[in-house]
Amino acid sequence: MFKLAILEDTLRISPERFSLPKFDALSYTVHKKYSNRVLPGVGLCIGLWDWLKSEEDYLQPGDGGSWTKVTFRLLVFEPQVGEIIIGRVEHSFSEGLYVSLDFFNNIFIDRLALQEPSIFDEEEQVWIWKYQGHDLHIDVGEDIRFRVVKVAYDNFGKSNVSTGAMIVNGSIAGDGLGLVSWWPN
Amino acid sequence: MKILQATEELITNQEVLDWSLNYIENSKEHKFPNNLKQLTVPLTKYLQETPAGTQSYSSLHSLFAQLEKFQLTVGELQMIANQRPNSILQLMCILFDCERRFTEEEMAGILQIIDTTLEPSPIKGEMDMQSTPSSL
Repeated sequence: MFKLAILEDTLRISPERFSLPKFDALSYTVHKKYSNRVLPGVGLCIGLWDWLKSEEDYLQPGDGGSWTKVTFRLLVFEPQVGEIIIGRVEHSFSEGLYVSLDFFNNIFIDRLALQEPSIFDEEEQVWIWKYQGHDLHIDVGEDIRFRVVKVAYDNFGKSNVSTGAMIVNGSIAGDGLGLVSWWPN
Repeated sequence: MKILQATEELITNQEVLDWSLNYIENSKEHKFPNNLKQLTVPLTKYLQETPAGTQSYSSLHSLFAQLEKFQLTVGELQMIANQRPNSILQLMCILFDCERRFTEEEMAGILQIIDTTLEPSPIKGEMDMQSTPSSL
């Protein structure tokens, strides 16, 4: 689920932070720029893991801030295809259901990636797995174990660190997958 | 900004939880931007409810050392640490081509190592082998 990515960037320390130790101020800049934002092709950035390299600070004309070129490792959330993850059922509708991991909610399980056969109950707005004569409901709030099928990046504008989306597609079609409560030991 | 390496190293949930708790602790003294604060709270909550919530660096170290002989991939070791499988079925979800690579005895061996090296999982709705009545 989590990994380290190596980035190189030129970071600005604004004048009001000049009194701080240099790397505290640079950490603040890294977190302000990257935390909780998606970097396409990398994942959801969590925060600074450690510094690898830094060069000399310099000033630019017309700008009161100081600039430093640095290389650092960022802690990133990016599910790997084939990975098994447990989340919580957030929302069901006729096309499938959404799963949440508290800190990340863009996980979609398509109706074609459910246990077979599953039907959608329009009245109760819930998916039901018809298993050997039993009706197993996929209720909102339940813990669900799914396999990651695809990770895609979408909706990016000109800037490459933005609030664009990382979309994770999952599947619960398979033994051991689906609600955790379905598979007691 | 340049991405020098999109994936340098995989990190277990336990290490991330440690990191996150550390930040929350440090935020009492240092000021952190809102976007980091907004993330570490739900991140910590989520991870504390997974097996990582009760794990330690030393138990993971022990787990990986004892599993070395099975030659699992880095991804598989991560998933074992993060998910703490406690049944053959769960193991088969995690290990690629499981039935061809391992005999039933070997799979039982892997589960045994997991159960003895890792602390019990805080996941609700699951029973640990350790809580199985001894009469069975």
